[in-house]
Amino acid sequence: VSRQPFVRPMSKTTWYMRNKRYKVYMLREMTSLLVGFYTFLTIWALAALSANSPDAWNDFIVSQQNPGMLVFHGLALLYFLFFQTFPWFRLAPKAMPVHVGEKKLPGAYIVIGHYVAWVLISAFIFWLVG
Amino acid sequence: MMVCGSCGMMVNGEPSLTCKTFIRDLPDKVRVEPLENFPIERDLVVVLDDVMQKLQQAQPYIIRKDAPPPEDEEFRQSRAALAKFKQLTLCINCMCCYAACPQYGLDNSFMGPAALTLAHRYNLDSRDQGKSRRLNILADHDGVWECSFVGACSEVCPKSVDPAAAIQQMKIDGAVEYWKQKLGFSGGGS
Repeated sequence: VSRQPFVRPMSKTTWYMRNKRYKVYMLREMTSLLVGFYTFLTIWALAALSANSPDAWNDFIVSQQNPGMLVFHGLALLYFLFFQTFPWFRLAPKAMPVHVGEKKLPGAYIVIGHYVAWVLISAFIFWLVG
Repeated sequence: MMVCGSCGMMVNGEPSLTCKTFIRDLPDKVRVEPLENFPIERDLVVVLDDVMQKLQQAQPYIIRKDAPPPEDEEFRQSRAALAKFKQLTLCINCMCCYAACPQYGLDNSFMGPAALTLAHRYNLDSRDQGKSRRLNILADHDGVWECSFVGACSEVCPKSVDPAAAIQQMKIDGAVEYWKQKLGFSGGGS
């Protein structure tokens, strides 16, 4: 008798609806859309700068200061925090475990280290911007 | 319980070792299915040929460049060196991680969690010197870089082996090894 194993098809477009784990993963991956948007914004800002006219730059600044844009930036920041910063910092001890002798350094130290570095670097950037 | 790894099945959609899954912990309706992402042979039996081949590709044995110790001696290993990979040796090949991995489900040319973890276990072994040989295969397209860190493999692993962590560590190793070879000081080693 020849074997005829049955292969269950997996939808290329809706597989992530299968369980909650996959959905959360897709929400995390969707930050790539925001990254795309901010890339576009950076190119726009650079174009405004290279236009060599103060008006072009002012137009760009004003366009980012209207209430709708401010709300969008705020929401984008929250989305990045909850779907990138928090989960990746939580996972950091897995990617870079530190062994001290026979014992593993508790993950909390590595996570806290990441948050401290984050605060310091943010403070430095704020100081640069003035 | 949890020693042989042959009873992996989907219980209410979750890859589980059925020997340690109790009816009393489940809701009234229980749905038992064959492991996801594998071809079904019959009933609850799935075909594991593909994964068996991948486990071999990982070269799960000690590779030496230097001569092995003399016959009457043994490979010495400190407890600290053992602690680095002990957790990864607990894998019982139940394949729950493959059933949880959407990347493997979408494209089974991916090496997958257990095979990559097994390779990492030998890469971390202080007696082994085959890291560069393994990374040549595993840091390739169908190796670690196909993993997008969904992390489901680690969540369903009944032995807490944490394959997702092993794969992320291998990505770092792979990148370091790539630059070592690129810059011309490929020592290999362990």
